[in-house]
Amino acid sequence: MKNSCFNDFIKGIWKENPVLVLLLGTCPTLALTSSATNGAGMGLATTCVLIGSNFVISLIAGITPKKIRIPVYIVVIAAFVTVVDLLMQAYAPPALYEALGIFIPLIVVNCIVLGRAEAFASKNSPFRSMLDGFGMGLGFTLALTLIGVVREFLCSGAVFGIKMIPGWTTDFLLPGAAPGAFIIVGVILAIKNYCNRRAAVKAGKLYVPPQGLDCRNCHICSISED
Amino acid sequence: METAKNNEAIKLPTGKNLVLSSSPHLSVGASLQKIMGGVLLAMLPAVIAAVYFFGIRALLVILYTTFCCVAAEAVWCRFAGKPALKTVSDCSAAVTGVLLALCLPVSVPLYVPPIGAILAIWLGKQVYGGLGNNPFNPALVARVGLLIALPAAMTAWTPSRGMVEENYPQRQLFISSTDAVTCATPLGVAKNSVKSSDNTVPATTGEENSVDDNELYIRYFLGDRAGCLGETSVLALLLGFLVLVALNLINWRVPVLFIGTVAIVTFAANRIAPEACPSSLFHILNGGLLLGAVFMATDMVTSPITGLGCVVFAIGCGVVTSVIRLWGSYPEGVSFAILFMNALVPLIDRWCGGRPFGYVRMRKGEAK
Amino acid sequence: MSLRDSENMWVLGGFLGAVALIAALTLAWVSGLTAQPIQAAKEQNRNKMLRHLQLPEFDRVGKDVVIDGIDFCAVYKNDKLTGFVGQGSNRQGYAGEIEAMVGIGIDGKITTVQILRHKETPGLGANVCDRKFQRSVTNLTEKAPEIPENKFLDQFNGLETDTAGIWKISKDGGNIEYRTGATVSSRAITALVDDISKIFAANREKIQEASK
Repeated sequence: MKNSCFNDFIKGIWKENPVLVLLLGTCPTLALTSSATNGAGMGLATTCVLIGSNFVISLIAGITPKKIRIPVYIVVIAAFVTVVDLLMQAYAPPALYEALGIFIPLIVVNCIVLGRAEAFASKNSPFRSMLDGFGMGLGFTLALTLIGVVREFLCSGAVFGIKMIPGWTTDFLLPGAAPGAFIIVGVILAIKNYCNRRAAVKAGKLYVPPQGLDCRNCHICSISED
Repeated sequence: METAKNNEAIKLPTGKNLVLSSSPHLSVGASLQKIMGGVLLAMLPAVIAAVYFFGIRALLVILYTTFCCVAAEAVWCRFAGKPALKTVSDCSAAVTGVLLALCLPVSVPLYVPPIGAILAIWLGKQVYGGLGNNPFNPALVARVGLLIALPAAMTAWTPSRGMVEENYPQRQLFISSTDAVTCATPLGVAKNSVKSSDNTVPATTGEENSVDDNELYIRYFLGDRAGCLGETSVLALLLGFLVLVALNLINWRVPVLFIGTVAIVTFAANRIAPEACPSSLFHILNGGLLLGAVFMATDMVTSPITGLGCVVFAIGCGVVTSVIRLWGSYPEGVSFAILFMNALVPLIDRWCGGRPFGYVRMRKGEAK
Repeated sequence: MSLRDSENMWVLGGFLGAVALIAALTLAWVSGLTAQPIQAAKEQNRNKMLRHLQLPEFDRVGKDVVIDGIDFCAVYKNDKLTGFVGQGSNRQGYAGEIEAMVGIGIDGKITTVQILRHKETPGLGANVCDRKFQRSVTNLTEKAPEIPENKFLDQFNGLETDTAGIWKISKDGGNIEYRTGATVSSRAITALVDDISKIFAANREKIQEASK
């Protein structure tokens, strides 16, 4: 199971979710999740880049000189990002394109893209690299959408622009601002760690807490007592 | 009284117990309850002034906020497995509650104190491990958090008793948040006049109808102006300061240096550009400067350990406050300044930390 | 030694150059493909804002003419004049620059004011600048209005530009109601619209001539 193609795809969604487990790509996560649509849009753009760049890089990884592999990968990734940027400029809704703004070119330096290229695509077949890119991109999109939904809902009771609670007139601006983003992502990470621990305990396996975890006298779950 | 952890009771042949413990062996009888009780006593004049100037709703807001903070602490302790009753009974949540209430305007809607309590107790204190571990002043975390989150609710000022100027009707004793008339604080007026480049609102030194008038200083001193519940009455806060110094609960140098630095910087600015910067006495009597300097900059958990560190801390607070008030986009800078210096406290402790007892600094050229 | 382990400067440089060349060719091809749609999208965007000024229907936009820092243009239908558009900015907002676009009918009355760019505080100053339609569960199927309402900006609708030059918010003695907590933003927008209208009224013939 571990080595199957299906596992390459599915691991990016939960077990090795780039945002919640690998903690990569936190910059667009914190900046673009003030509304769920922006988060989803960014995730989809990154997924396109991931699939394309993983595919091409795994094709040329065999012949790329080791000494210049990073610049070569970056050129490939930058080309894909520019293609995605041009396509979005031409066909995406103007509101979304303006909201994502400078973060579309910044996908080039999104650690997820280069990280997966270096860690997976350069060592595996093109088909599996594409699956890995798709899975990681999908996990990224889901994480961004989840955080975006939480932030947008806490801010104005709306989800994807549709107000769920009509009586909510005063916007609570803290979740929509940068400090709120950090706090909410922190809480979601805590919940993910808690879920991991419960799953490990249930399966009878040893749970390894994240490195450097300091629970500070908090006993809400029992991670620190393991 | 709790005994030291490494207490060992050795039974002597005579039947008595020989107890070994490490220093300190002398107790002044201080306990957390007593310290917090002293701080609450010092805040009493400010509470009375708030009720006098803003009506009975002020008392409702203060009690409600205190209850919310205590409840927030109890709820967290219940879920985090800490002994709830013991943690609540050290009164630190109550002090945070009163202090937070004194930072709110009187017309604050009733959903604001619970949000403030969660920000203060959970985010400002418990997440870091409880009392003593927090790097930032909890009441200020809540105040700044609420200011960002709900700017309209947190900046809706009501006229105080006795504001019988042409623009404001006589204040009623019972103010409800739905039909209160709003007005601006003197600092807000000064900041708006600087921002409106066509100077339609004269507000600074020497101009007609200015808020920086010598006759108005008495009103600012007594507290008869719009603002947060606790920050208006300089007289009440000075009484609080005297109580704290008399009970030996704070380092008096911190408030004195904080206010002194603000006075010096704003005096210089006023001399250089009187039409853009109000006088330094205006700055001392207005805004949350007294409240922040006396109650928040002196918080023993979040200020530096050594005396020199506290001096550096106070001067830094004063400088940042003046900069924000004079050139920043917010009219009031005290909360941000104190939080900023709280963040720098570990650095200050490192540089201004005292020499450990018995440590001899090596002179140049001496052999090891 | 295979290509992978090569350390020859020429080989490395040549490989990188080859990759860059292929990437550049691909990008040139995609750029050529999308140039037209991008241009069309930009045009549509600009016209979208022009169409949100409640001006009578138009199919041609005249040349831009700049007077006193304000951008004016006339709009035509079947070569008949149907209205004017003025676009300008000032730095009197609470957080800096505010840019507005004003639609003016041929009778000299303002049709709509739209704020194009601002950096005002969300929750306070932004409330007088933004026109937003809030879709909620109660109006899921309702069609979004072309021009969402904004109580402050809608005050300018119908004002005669001939009377411009003295418009102020009520706090400064004028007739425009301002919003509490957004005094500086209200004052800035009023001054901006007043300015645009004043310059329009004084130069109307010149604009009509130059913007054919």
